[in-house]
Amino acid sequence: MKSLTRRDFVAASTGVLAAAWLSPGKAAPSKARIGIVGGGFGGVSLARYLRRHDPNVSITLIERDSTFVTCPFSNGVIAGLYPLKDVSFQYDQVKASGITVVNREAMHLDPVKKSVVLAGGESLQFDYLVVSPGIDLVWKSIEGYGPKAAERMPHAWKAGSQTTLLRRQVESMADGGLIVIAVPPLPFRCPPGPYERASLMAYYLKAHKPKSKIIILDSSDAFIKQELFMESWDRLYQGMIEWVPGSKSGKVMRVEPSTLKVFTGFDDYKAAVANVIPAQRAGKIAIDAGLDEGTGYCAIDSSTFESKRHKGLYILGDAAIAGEMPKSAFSANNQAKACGRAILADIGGKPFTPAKLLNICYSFAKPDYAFSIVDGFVVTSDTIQLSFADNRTTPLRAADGEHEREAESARSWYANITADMFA
Amino acid sequence: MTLHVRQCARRLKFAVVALIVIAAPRLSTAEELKGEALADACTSCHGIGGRSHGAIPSINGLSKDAFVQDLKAYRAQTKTATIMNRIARVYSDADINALADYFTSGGKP
Repeated sequence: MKSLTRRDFVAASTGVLAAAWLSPGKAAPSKARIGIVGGGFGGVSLARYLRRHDPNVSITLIERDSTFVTCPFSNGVIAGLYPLKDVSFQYDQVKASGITVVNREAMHLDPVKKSVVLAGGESLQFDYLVVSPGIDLVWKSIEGYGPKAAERMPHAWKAGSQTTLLRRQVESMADGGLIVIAVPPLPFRCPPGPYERASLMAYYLKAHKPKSKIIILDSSDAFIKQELFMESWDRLYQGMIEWVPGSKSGKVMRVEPSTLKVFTGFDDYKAAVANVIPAQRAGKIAIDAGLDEGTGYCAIDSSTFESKRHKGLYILGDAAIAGEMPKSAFSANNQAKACGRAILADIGGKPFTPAKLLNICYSFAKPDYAFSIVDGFVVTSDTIQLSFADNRTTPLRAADGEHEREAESARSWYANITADMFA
Repeated sequence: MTLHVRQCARRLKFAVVALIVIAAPRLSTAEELKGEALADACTSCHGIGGRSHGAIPSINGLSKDAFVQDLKAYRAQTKTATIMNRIARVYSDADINALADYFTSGGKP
């Protein structure tokens, strides 16, 4: 869809009338207009949730891209396990389910009026506006890095052409090359992602370029599931992956794209492939609208995900400050359901029952070896806290069969969560 | 903390029932609302309506007894699963009952 036509609006409103006519006995159709900016895990999960629970509300999903490429499972593309199309989804079923998908970039939003200006200048007006824009890369966090440098030193932290680029570089690298992965300071999207990436790259290198090495230059001194990752590296990839913590000069300060050199405070590395992941903040449209209040991420009500500043405005997923919930696809999907429940309760004047929030995250060391972390959350009046801190991960020294089962579960999770959104 | 939350939930439930009776008899009951609110997180792995693709088991269409028994056994660590032993710790007996009602009644979307 190139432009938003009158026909789209007519089609959407006809759907509303038809749904109302087909469900006699229901209350009068709600005319509430819900706008969602961003067609990723937060936005699409919310749109589908709302439609499943209410045939009457008007739902408009605004998304620039016509294809959604998931960050989960994109590390497998980089390792050559499957093509990018296996982690790519179209919005056909989203549209077919009675959601108006506006395939245009949202340029600007007004958090008070709940309006969104599209590329081209048209403006859409809503009663409820949900912002789920994902992350924006902070290019200036690394000297010498930027959109142009990323063509030589891909971040591949937004899945799509960057993923393909990094795959091609890894594939064409000579045996014996050095892959550098630069990990930004927290908070960033998918905290275990860089380490899973290193693991799956090592899986590919071990089979095809066994003299090659990976060095992870980290801004932090510890990482999530660290013991499990390190155990798997010991078992599977001895001598192939080196991790340099921030306190040992791991933080990347500067890069030189022309020479593929990466500089930390004290050392420099000449890479054959440089995967440079910069610092992150909430998606640009949220920052531009001041929803982050200068902090980089947006404060929300911990049970409804409504903005703390603007009534009727909600923020989901990576862009939100969601207490101890990590920035993950699973979190965004769970938050979307909680938020959807809150919006529908508000529209219908119904009581609101806060949703249970979980985050479950699998990481692969190789295709038949995965492990997980399980987070349950308690929603308090001002934050979201872990309900237990102990025994959240797969135990260390687990049998191979256990890791195989986790790998199968991870694939099943991916099938189910993407079906929730796109089937 | 958990106890406090549960007490609040119980109080809220009474308030909710009262509201529903006064406002609109056709609305969901508080029990149903609670089951659904809890179940939303389950479906992120087990699929919409509890119908799963692949290795993660479907959790719709079980008998209520089996559902309750299994979840309590995971929580008590007397039955092992890939990750459910870790997850089941977040649910109280009342939560497990509400979840069982939700998923054994056909698993609404």
